[in-house]
Amino acid sequence: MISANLQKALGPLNLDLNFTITAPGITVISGPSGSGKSSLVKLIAGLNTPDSGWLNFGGKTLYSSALNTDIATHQRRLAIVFQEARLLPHWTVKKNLTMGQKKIESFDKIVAVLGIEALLSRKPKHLSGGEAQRVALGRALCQKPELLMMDEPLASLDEERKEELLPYIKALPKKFNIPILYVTHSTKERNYLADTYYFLEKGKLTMQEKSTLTSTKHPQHLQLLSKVR
Amino acid sequence: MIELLTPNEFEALLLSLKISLTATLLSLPLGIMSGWLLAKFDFPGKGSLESLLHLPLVLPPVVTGYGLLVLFGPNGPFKELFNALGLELGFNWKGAVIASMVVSFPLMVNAIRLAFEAVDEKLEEVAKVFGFPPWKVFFSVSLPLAWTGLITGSMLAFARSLGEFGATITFVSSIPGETQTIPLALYGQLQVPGGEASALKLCILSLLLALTALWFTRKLRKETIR
Repeated sequence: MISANLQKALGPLNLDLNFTITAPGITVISGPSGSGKSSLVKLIAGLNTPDSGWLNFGGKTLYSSALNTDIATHQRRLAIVFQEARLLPHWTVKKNLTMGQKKIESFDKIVAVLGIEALLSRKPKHLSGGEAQRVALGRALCQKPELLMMDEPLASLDEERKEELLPYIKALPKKFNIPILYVTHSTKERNYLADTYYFLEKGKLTMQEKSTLTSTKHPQHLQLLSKVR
Repeated sequence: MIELLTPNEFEALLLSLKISLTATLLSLPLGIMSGWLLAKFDFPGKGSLESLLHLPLVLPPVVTGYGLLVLFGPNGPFKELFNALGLELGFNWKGAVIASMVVSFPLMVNAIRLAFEAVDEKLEEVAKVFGFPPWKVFFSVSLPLAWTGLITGSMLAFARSLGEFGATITFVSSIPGETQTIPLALYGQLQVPGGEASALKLCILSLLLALTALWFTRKLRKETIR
């Protein structure tokens, strides 16, 4: 479970995030560009420091301005899949997956599920975009994170690669028992993946009814709806 | 090869190599630290530090050498400290190493700094997210990705040390077998009648050394870029 009350001023945008995610499975956060989606991921990961508020995760306080607590990023036990694969170019795929750790539980399973067995000894520059992104996904799973955040993980891929990866992602929470926070502006990805769905606009999060997922309304139409409510 | 060179010339060659290598290796840890600090952080006094580091690049080497003589020479303000440490810098090869380090340091730091600046911060971010504490981010990600800059910086510093003349002759003089490197020996030969043949040999020796250093650098860079 993750609950947060975070404030951060980012230029003209005043991020004011107030949410509790208890649901297992995939929680999708969508919203127009510039609404603060990536900043939200960075705040949870500790890559950005909030101006004020608190962040609790799995019974631990990761950040609290009142208690003067700010757990460093590397101690937060999170994993992120970014828009770009961000593999370390001087390491092989295998080392990128393990990040130098000797023993990875269910390494073989992860590699098999993602279909990257044949790539293990390659350097990242010899991978296609889709392959690199699958490796990035594998790297995140190998960490056994308590929360997996995905920030537009498919945005830099072409349609075919997206189609190829979506089922992998959809199956992750069940296969590896990891809650996922999935950030996207794509209606299609949201409809396909979301177990729970939040809409982020002008720095504010609102939980959306599940029924809106099944509709095929245009995103801007949805924005209008959320304003009416 | 050795028979082609007189004992004096051979000594100058060995001394040049010893001084330049020692200066480069001693500068490297400090160069890495300074390059990294300048590339990654903003702090008060950064501008002044940069100017100070670049000073030997813009000052005439003779001025640098004189400064070293005043500061670190036998009558300098640090003489008691050096005595306590058992370190004597005036008119010996250790002083020549200091002179080489000072004049070549800006070249090394600049190359290393550029290399650290070119390291994608997003990759360092990834390492943090995946549980690397700051020291591990540095040694596993930043430093290996800046590797070519370390090689270039070391090469530039080594080459600059090989060619060092003004600061060395001013600080530690030109003593055969102690501080007389190839450039100093070459200059010495030009001052005496009939020294031209020896000067030419030393000139060719310099050229060979420089070419070897370049070849070695290229090879190292290729190895790591692969």
